Amino acid sequence: MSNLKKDTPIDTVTAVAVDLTQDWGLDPGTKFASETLVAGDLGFTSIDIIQLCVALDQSYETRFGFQDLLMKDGSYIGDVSLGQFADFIASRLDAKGASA
Amino acid sequence: MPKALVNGVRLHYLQVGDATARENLVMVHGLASNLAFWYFQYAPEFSKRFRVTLLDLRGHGGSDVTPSGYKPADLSLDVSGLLDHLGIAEAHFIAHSFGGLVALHHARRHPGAVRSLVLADSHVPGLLGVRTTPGTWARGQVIRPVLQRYGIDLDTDNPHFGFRLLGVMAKLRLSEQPVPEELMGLFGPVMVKFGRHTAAQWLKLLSTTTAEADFLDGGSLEDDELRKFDFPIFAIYGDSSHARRTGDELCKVWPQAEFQLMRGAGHFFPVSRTEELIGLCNSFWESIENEPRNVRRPNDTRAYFQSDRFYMIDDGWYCSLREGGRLGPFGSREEAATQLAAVLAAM
Repeated sequence: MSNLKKDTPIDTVTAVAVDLTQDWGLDPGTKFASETLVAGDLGFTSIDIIQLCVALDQSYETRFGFQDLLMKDGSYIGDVSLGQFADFIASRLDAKGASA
Repeated sequence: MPKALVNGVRLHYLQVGDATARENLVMVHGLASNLAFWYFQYAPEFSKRFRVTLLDLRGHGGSDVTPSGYKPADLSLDVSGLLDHLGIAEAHFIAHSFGGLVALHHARRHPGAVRSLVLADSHVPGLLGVRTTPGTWARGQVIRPVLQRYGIDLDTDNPHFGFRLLGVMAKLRLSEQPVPEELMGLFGPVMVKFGRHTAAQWLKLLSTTTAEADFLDGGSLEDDELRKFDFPIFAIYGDSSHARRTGDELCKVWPQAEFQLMRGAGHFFPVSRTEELIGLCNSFWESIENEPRNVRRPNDTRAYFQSDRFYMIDDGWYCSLREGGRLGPFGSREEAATQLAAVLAAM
């Protein structure tokens, strides 16, 4: 997968999600929006979510620590939207910028 | 994510951490699971110490499904092949449940390639004591009537109870019916690991391949072969787990090993007791670096290790020895640790 980093986190997350699912035969009307749920709407499994996380890490050349977004009290939280991924990335980038 | 063609199978794997790290850690998941079992909570922590390699066993996660080849010995060849492919000559291992059998078979074939092994609640059916005196699973007395209430016909004393339970839970997950709270209370960690896709993948694997027969085969690892292992071993068992019987027998087979019972834990303590397990593993690996005594020596029959470690009952701290004795109560955990160290030093 080539680097799909865009100008904003939501654009990057969307681009990566579109790229990952391009061969899945999703319904042509499938929306990739901020509120789109990766498991509920796109059918991501745990392995697919890891693949998304790895691709996002690679795009930004960092490790975001997505476990803080995806795990709560030792269990996976139910589902996560593309917008939540983007917000998480933005907050980590902000924190990184603030500490730089 | 990367795949490697090994033994004619494309194995899905992932590496985390510094490629120049001095040592490697391989993490092996159990049945009906995949590398996600370890990825989010364990790999980031352990990658501070190791270059971590996670893989999906054949038929699991993103690895190929093949018509056959699911015996633990077969799967261990996949692991060996992947490590060859990655240029990893030796590694530490941590394995949960059936993954432990795979790691043990790998160790039997390549004992010099295993730096250490953390065995988390693995049932080893070839052990003499497990085969001949399987015993009664105390926790089963609690579970059996609940299963019966929901029309689930499973023998909790069957050595393959855990395997059968996975099938029942997978079907429950795929059914349109909500899982009763009472069952969730008992088997929550099993259900949590089953997304709908994983449940469907598991049932399809069992119905379209030789996987079920191969998994139940268990391989032929017996006591004498296990005794030959001379690398540091840390075996951890849930005290209410169905696999606990294996832990009791391994205590006899590996007098040089570290053992720990996870108090109040079942089979899926890597899910429910993550921080505790991470701490235990780190302590074990530190002890290997600092105390080479953990390596078994010929005719070494010392029993210098303990299980249960430290726990609290009411306001008192206790620690237990593998030999069955309990020390305590102490006023603090630190005091218990000091007393235990004195006892061990005198052994």
